[in-house]
Amino acid sequence: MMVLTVARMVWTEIVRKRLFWTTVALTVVFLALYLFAVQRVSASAGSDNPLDDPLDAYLHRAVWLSIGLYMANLIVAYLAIFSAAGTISSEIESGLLLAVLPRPIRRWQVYLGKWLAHTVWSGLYAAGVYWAVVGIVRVRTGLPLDPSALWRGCGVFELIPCVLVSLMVLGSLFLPTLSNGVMGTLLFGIGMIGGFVQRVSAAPTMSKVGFVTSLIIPTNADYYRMFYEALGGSSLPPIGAQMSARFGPFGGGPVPNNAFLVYTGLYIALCVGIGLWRFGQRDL
Amino acid sequence: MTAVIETRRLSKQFPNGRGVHDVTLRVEPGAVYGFLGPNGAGKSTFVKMLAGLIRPTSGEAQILGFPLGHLEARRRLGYLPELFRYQDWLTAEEVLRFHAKLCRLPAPVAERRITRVLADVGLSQAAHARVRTFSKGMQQRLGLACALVAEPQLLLLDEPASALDPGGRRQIRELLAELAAAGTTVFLNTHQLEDVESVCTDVALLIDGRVRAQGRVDEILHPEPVWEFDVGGWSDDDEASVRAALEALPGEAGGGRIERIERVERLPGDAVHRLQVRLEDAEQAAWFNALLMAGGLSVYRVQSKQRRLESWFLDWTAEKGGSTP
Repeated sequence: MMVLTVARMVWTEIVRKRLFWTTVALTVVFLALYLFAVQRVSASAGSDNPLDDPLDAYLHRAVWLSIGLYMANLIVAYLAIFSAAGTISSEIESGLLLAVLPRPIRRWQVYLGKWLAHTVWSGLYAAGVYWAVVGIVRVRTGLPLDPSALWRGCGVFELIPCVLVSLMVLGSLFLPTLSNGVMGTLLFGIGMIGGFVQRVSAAPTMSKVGFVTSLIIPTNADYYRMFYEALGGSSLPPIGAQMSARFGPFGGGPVPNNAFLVYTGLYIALCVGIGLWRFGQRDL
Repeated sequence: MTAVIETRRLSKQFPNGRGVHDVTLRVEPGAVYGFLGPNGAGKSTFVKMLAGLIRPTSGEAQILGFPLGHLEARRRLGYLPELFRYQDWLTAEEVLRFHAKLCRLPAPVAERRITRVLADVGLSQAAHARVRTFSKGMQQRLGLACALVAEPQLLLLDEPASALDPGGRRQIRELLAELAAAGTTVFLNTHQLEDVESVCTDVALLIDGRVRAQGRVDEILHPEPVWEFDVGGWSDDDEASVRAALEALPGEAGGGRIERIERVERLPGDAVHRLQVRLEDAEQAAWFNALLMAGGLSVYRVQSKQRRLESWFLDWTAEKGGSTP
C-alpha cells in the first residue's frame, strides 16, 4: 500500500512536470515520421523495383522493422535513463526526502515505490512504442508477423527499460543526478558499441568484448534477442538465425540464449536488492 | 513518567571527526525544549538522529519509549527539517494529503486535519495553490503544517522560523505556545534566541558536538536578580558614600543582605549614571532607592534587569572557544 502511495506520487510528478505529455507529443512526431518513411519506401519498392523473391521481399520489409525497433530501443533507453536518474539523488539534494523518510514508512517501501513507478512508466512507454512500430510496419508493408512471436519480443523488449531503471535508481543513491544520467548514457553506449563490435568482426577477441560488455550492461544483447523473437526466430530456429544475420549490427549476429535472459533477470534483482539494502543503511 | 526524548551518550561520529558526542538529555512530556549552539555544533545531526534519518554510531536513545527510527516513534512525531522542499508540482493541500497518507490517517480524519493545520499556519487561502508559487516563508509554514498534520505527540523543529518575517515568527511562537498548552512536546533547534526565551521551558547548549550546558530557561535567565537604577547627579564621591552606607548596615536590609553595587556606567550623551545592584527582591529595591534619595540624588528609573539568553549563549561559546552564530 505504501509502495503504491510513493509510486502514485512519482506518476503524478511525471504528469504534472509535463514529462508525460512532452514524451507523448514527441513520440507522435517520431511515429509520424517513421510512418511517412515506411510508407514512401514501401510504395517505391512496390512500383520502381519490385521484389520477386519472397525472402528478399520479406527481408526488405523486416529491415524497416529493425530500424523502427532500434530507434524505439534508443528512445526508450534514454527515457528510462533520464526519468529515473535523479529519483533519489535529486530528492536528497532538494531536501524532499528529509520530510518523507521520518514518516512511519519503511525505507524499502520508498525505494521500491520509486523503482516500481519508473519501471511501469518506462515499461508502458516501451510497449506503446513497440506495438506502434510493429503496427506501422505490418499495416504499411504487409510484413507477415506471428502474434505470439511479437508478444515474446515485447516481453524481452520490456527487459531493457527494466534493466536501465533498476540501474539508474541504484545509481541515484551514489551519484548526483547529472553524473548518474551521464553514467547511464555511457553504460548504454558501451553496451551498444560492444554489440556492434561483436557483429562487425568475426575475431574471437571481439566476440569476447561484446560478451563482456553485455554482462556489464545487458540491454543491447536483450535488444538483439527481442528482434530475433519478434521476427519469429525462436519458432523457426535455423531460418530465424539466417534472417537475423542479414541485419548486421541492427539486428543480426549471435542471439543471446535463454540463460542470458535469466542473467538479465538476476541483474535486475541484484540492482534492486543492493539498492534496497544501501538505501536502508544510508544516512541523510 | 516516560520521557518523550531520552538519550544516553548518544553519538554520531563522521569520518572527518565531526558529529555529536555523548549527548545525554531528557525531555519531559509537555516541555518546549530549546536546542542551541553555534554553526557546525552538530545540532541538525542530533535532530536528524532523533528523526531516524541518521544512524547513531554509539549510545542509546528512545522517543516516547521506542528506539530511534522505530515506526511507532515516527508515527508519533512530526518533523520540520532545516533545509527542505516539498513537491512543488502539488498544491499545499495535496502535499498535506500525501503526508497524511504516509501517516496512515483515515481519509475523513486527514481532511479535517488538513483544514485545521492550514488555518493554524495561515495558509487556508493558499490551500489550492501550487507550492512552486509559494514564497520561502509560505513554504516554511507549509513545512510546519506537514509536521503537524498527524497530530504528533512530539514536534521536532529544525530552524522553523528562519525564513519568516517578524509577523510570521510571532505567529509561529503563538502556535508553539498553543501546542505546548495542549500537551505537545516541542524540540526546537533554532538560532532565534528570543524564540527560545519566549516559548521554551528548557534549553541545552551544544558546542563542538557536546552538550556544554542545559537547564530550565527561567533558571538561566534569572540566576541572580540584578536591578538597574538610572541616577542623576552621581559622582565618584557618591559611589564611595553609598558603598560606605551599605557597609554600615547592620546586615539586613529589606529582609536580606545587599551584596554589592555590581557596575556603574555613565549613559552616553547624558548626565545620567546607571547603577547595577544585586538585590533579592522589590522590597530591597525600594530600600536602596530610598538610600539614594536620602543622599540627594535623583532617581529617574528603577528596573529589574533580566539576563538575556544571548549573553548566556555568548558567555558559553566564548568560554569554550565556539564560534558565534
